[in-house]
Amino acid sequence: MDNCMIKVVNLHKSFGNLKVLKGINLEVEKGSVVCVIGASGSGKSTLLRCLNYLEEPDKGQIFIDGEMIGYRQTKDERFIKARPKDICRLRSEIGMVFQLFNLWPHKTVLENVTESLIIVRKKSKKEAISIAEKNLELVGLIEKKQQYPSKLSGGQQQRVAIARALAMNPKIMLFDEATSALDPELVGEVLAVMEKLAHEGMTMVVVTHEMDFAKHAADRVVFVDEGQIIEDGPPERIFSKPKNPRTKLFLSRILHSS
Amino acid sequence: MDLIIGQLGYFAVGAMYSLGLTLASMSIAICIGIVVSMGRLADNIVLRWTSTAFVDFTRGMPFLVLLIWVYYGLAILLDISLTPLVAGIGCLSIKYAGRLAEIFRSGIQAIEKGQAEAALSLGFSKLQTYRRIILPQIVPIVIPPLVNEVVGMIQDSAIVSIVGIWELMRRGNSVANATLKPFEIYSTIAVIYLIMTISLSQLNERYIEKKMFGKKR
Repeated sequence: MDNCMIKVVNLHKSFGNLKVLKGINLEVEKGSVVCVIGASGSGKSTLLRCLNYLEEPDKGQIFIDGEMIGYRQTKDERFIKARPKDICRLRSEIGMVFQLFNLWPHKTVLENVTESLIIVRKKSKKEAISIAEKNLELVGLIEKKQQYPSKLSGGQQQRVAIARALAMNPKIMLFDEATSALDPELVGEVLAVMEKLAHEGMTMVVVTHEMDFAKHAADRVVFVDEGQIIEDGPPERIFSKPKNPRTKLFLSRILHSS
Repeated sequence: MDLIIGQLGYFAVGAMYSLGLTLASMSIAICIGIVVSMGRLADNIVLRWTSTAFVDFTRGMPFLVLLIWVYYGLAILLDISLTPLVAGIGCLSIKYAGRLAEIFRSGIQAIEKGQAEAALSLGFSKLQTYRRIILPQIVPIVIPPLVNEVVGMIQDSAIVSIVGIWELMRRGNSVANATLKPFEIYSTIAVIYLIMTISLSQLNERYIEKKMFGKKR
């Protein structure tokens, strides 16, 4: 339990009468990389968005580093709804990278990274800039710091988005199809940054269609189908000997098409 | 002609009043409008309903009726008498706040949802997200309709003459009555209003919008 960074218990989420998640159970160890694969509409993005409370679960619990999210314990040991500031604090410890980058177009690359350090972490401007520069260096984009995002390629924008999340020094990084919106020749540079993070021991949950990345960077692969995790194991086993026929079908489709 | 030239200084002061009324009321209307637009988009149902009611009420009321109702009605109803200036600025602000709220709301909704999500995922509060990420981005979107509203308000400021504010229209009325030359006087007044509104739109097109759209995107 001590070594458990994320614990999801019986998670349910519906949008209207569409049941997206139907009882997800998942544990992610500190420092491990879990790739979540599955067809579109299977609920994998919703699962990820529940982890930092961008979606509020209907039922079930999520523990981040032992702390239950969305709720807090009172002195008499009851659980009540968390205050907005508790949720903000928790989110600030979980980095998220989006499919469409979501850089802020009215701010420069550097400002995109310093903004949360100044606003959320209350750092001085000078301190924020030095942290931001360190992280931009890590993703190899320090020379673009004065540019606006619209001047950058998709791959560069996504690397800035990664630097922006990393600058907060998060316990966990969530990647929501981080390479799906990129031109094929730009995918590699983003995956390289992600792999570097994985090797440095960051706890990562990666929703992806990049099976090659899952194969050699993931410690575990989980396959989500119709709102449930139906297969969970090391990548070697999942890719070579999937147990569930639906996993088999999904993998044969996706591996043959690429 | 001499008659008109002789009155120009008098009218100029009136025009300053009209612009002053507009400036004061627009500033207040923008502040209220931002708050109401956020209320319209809030999760909280009470906030949402209150702000929707505010927009429906202010937007649905003819300005003249609103003004008379506030100036004379409140005096009877609550036994408070507002000065003409307070009633005039108050009504202009409220009337336009409802309209601006809808403009701001459309601006906010035009911003990609991911922009706010990126901020929230980094630990921004909702208010910080609005102030730092959303509002700066809606400025270029709302400037053109906002200029429309300012031009409209300069015109509506003529209506507050009826409660006794000595702005341009009221000065025109009094001079027209005194000189018995309404055609010449009202034509002059019309031209002064046009000068004010047209210079504002030109100012916007040549400087403000150019500066806004010139960079970044």
